[in-house]
Amino acid sequence: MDWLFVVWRPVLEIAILWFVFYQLFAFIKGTPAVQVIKGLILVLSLFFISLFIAQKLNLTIINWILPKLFAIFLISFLIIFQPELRRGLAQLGKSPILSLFLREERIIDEIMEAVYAMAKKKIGALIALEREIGLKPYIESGVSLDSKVSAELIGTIFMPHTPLHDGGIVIQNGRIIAAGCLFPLTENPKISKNLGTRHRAAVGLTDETDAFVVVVSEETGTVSLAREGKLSRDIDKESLSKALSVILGQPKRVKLSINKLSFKSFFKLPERTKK
Amino acid sequence: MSKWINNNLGLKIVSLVLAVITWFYISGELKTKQNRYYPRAPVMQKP
Repeated sequence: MDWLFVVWRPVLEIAILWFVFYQLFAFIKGTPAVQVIKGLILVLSLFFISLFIAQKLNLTIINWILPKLFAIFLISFLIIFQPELRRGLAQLGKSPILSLFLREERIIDEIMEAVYAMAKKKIGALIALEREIGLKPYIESGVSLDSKVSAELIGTIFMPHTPLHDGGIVIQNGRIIAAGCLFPLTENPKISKNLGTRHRAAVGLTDETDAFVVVVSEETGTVSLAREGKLSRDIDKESLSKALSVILGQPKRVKLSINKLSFKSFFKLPERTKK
Repeated sequence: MSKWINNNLGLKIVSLVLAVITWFYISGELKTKQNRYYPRAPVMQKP
């Protein structure tokens, strides 16, 4: 077993070097930098061969010059790859851990922007946000998208006279997974008879699942939120933002408990739905 | 596991070869520049 204690350090060091090289190559793969890297590898190979020969033949001057050239080469590497290095550092900043909170904030902002822009123009919209219970049957009734959440895309989907506007979109794990989805209509007798199909579909979906559904009324231009089979009508930006933060900002496993504990305290809207 | 290995296999092999070469080169360089301690080095005195 003694050999293990001797070997583990070099193995670990080689593993770290391998990881760094692999990440570097994977990063530049498919970019114009590949050609430059090939040239660099050629130059480096020539450098090491020359150094080896110079050391073997004891060429003092060449032995002195080559390490100096290598230092210049390193500096030129930084200058040549300045755009790639910048891009690499920017990508590090976008790593999943660092961007987790920023991403949630961005999604909320995009949904808010889209919803209130459509409300202003009286464009109807139906946006379902999936939580613990999957919305697969409803996703399959629509057109698969799987795209980033953006205000422009949501606005385009619900634009009147377009193929996907007559249905709902489903947001799953921070992505618009499908559009033109059909949601079940509520059969709750307590729901106002004045409500249209869009609002009934929103409540219907929340009757059957734990999803949150944002509705924009075509007639009144108001924004409503359906949850747990109840509809909160004409909600302001702040309340909607808080509700979306609860849905998107918490890890899935603790979402339900947090909602049950604290949602009602800042979101007193169910009373207004009873007509 | 096999999917992970087969994905970008060429790049992985090239990276491993480079990592091994780099390690041997640098360890060789470090060995030649190691400080050595001689506790009882003979000191020549002028006659």
